[in-house]
Amino acid sequence: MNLPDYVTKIEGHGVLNIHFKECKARLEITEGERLFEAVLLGQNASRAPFITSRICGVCPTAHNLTSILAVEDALKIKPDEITFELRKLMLSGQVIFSHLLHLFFLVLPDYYNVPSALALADKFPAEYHLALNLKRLSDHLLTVVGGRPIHPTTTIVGGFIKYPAKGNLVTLQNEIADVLDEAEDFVKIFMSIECPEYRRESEYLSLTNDNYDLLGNTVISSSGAQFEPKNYRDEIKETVKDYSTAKFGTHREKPFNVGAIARISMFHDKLNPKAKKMASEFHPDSKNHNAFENIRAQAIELMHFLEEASIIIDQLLNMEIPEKPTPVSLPKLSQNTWGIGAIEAPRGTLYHAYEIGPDGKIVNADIVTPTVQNLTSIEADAEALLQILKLDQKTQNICVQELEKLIRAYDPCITCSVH
Amino acid sequence: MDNKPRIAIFDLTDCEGCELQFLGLKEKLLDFAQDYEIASWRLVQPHKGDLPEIDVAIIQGTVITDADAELVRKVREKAKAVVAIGECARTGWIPAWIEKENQPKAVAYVYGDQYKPHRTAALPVKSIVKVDLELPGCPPELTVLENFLNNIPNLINQ
Repeated sequence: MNLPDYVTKIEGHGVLNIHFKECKARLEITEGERLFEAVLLGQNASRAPFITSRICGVCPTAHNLTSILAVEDALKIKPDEITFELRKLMLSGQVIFSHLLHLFFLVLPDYYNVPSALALADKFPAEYHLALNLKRLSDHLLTVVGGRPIHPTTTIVGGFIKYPAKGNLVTLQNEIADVLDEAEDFVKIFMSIECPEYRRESEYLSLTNDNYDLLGNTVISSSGAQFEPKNYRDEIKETVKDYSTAKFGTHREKPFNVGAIARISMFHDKLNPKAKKMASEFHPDSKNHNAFENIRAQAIELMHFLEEASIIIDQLLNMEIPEKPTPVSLPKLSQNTWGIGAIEAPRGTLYHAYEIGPDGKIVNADIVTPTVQNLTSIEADAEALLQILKLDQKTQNICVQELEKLIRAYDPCITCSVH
Repeated sequence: MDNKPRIAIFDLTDCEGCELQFLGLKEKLLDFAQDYEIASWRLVQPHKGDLPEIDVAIIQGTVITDADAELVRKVREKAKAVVAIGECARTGWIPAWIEKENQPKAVAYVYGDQYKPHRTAALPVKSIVKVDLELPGCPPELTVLENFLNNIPNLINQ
């Protein structure tokens, strides 16, 4: 029995199709259509965060919180400060959880010449130990705040069902302090791996505010342009292709990049101290884009969000956290209203938009994931790299291998892209 | 190495949360991996060509495409025991909320009228092949997975 020729060690099912003579590369996404946007129609809006979390097991917290923001935007609910800080803390945990999976379990085997991360355990026990300690921390953080790492249980529209006990936050704080030195070693592994050299002009987009905390009210571009998330449909177009169950995104008709590489490129001056120090000579540039640099950008972000989590916990410990959250009642709408939520998910800007009726039910839904936005660039990068590899007279096998590494460097979440 | 029982993990159409939950077992998963040969696991290792006979096949996800259904049938032929983990494999879960008769309308809503979907239906694994064990949960709790892994010798000897 032969298995389909999927690109392995990525999230979801895609087949790389290369036309060597014409120097063309296509990423054929074959994941089945789950039709989440259609599933949402007629559902109570308050159920959307539960449902949409299940779009992705790697970034469920990102979908869950973006969904909550979309509903709150429509209903004009302003969450309190504790809720705001707890959500930021969850997002920090989400990025650590997701980047760690990608860096250690999916990327590192390529560079240490072993078939899988399980094989890393025998040959590189120290690195494995580091990875498991970071995994333990991110799982614990997401459990303390969100109820569990995969598909959160404590979050609702308006806030939380349950607040973490301060004692648990103190424990987390100590656990972060314990892993910070180890994490520095972990980041260094990825800063020193060799990336194939090729360059292409791209554009980077990221949501931002004054902090590097994954929230914001403005999407800014490396070109200097900017727009409000609520106008995302005027800016980002999704195209249906006959060879893919995922749509392909473009910004003003051109490929662009979102994710760690875009964030680091534009906001490296806002990194927390240890991360900033480690990134002092690493400033990706959209005009000379190399997708492999996303691996380093994720490693730096892992450090940044460990520091960020610690800062947020300090703030929470200085706040009066009641034993139980005050229940928030959801207001009734007088007419159909759109609500739009956007956050920086681990792989880039994630948009959820729902039109909600006076009965509280969803009338229309649209979700645009980071990987959809990156797909057009993945193919453009694959073709740019293929040209260089052909000039170097690499064999077809090597070309396939290198292009698969390139796709992996993007950390595509195909599961998300076909939601 | 050759005499170790063979386990394989397959994902159909899903969020991959169930297989990630295995990584949540951390050191325990490593200990487990010492005693078994992992014959296939697309998320974490490359293909090794033809799939050999398997002792226990773990399947997660909803059967949505013909490729999903075909994979399930082939795995059943090769595996002594088939285990469906998580709500998607067990019940079809959220994708199955769209009934077959509403599917064309739902596809057109998401992709437009001209699009030809890969999706044929949204079904649980047991609607395609015989399933020997089901583990509930979205995703299954770590203790459920751990007990299951500890119980694999009994499953193989059944």
